Amino acid sequence: MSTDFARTWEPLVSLQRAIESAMNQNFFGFATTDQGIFPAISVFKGENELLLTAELPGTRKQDINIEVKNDLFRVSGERKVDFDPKEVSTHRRERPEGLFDRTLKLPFAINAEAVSASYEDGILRVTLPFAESAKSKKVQIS
Amino acid sequence: MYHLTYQNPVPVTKKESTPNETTYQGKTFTPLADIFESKQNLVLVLDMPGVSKDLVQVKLENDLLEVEGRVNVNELTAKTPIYSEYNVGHYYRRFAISNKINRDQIEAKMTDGVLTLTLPKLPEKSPKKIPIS
Repeated sequence: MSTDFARTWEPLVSLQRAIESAMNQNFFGFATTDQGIFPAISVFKGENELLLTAELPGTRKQDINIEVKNDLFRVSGERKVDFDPKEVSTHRRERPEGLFDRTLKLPFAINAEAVSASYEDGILRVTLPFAESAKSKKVQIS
Repeated sequence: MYHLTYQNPVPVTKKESTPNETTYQGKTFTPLADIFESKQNLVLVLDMPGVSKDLVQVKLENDLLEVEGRVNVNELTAKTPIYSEYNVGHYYRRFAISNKINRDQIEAKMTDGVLTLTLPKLPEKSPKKIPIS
C-alpha cells in the first residue's frame, strides 16, 4: 500500500497488542506467573517519597485496605461487580472481580506515620515518604 | 516490565485527506466491558481507570456507539518510574447497536473509573396488519 511508509511502527504496536491480549487470555496457562495480577501497580520515585499508583476501577473506597510496615506495602480488599443474576442475563463478562491481596517490598524504608492515600477515577495513589533512616546525609570533608 | 512512554493527550489535527479527524498521541487500550440485559435495559459497563468524567466522550453515529476516554498523565511525567505493571493510555471501544434500542434515551454515568451506559430497549411492537387496497 502506498501509505505504508507512514506507519512504520504499526507492526510493532500490533505485536505488542497481541502479546498483551495473549497475556490477558490465559494463553500461556500455568507456564507463566505474569498474568491476572490485580491490581496492577506502578511505582514512581520522587525526591523524598515514592508514589505508588494502582488501577482499581469500580472498587469502593471503603473496600480498600492499605497497610505499611517498614519497607512492606500491602493493599487488599474486594472488587465487586454488582448485578442480580435473577434480573439480568449476561452477554459479556470481561471485568475481573473478587478478593485481592498484594504485598510489595519497597526498595526503601517508609515513614509509616506520614503515608497518605487518595482514590480518584479508579486510580489509587499512595504517597510513601522515605523514613529518616533511608534519606541520604551530606558528609562534610574535614 | 513494560517500557514506559508517558505522553500527554495532545490533540493533533490531520489536515490533509481527512479534514475533521482528531488524533491523540500515545497508546490506546480497549477497555474491558461487561454487558448485561434486563427486561427494560441493556447495560454496558466499561473499566476506564484514570479517566475523569470530563474526558469521556460517548458518540452514537448510525449503528455505532463509540466510547472514548482520555487520561491525563501530567503528574506522572515529572516522576521517574521504577516499577511498572501497567501502561497508561487512552481508551477506545465501539459497539454495534441494534434497532431495538431507544437511541434518544441512552444514559451515561462515570464513577470511580467505570463508565456505565444504560441503553433502554424499545417496547415490543405489536403485530400490524396491512390492509390490501
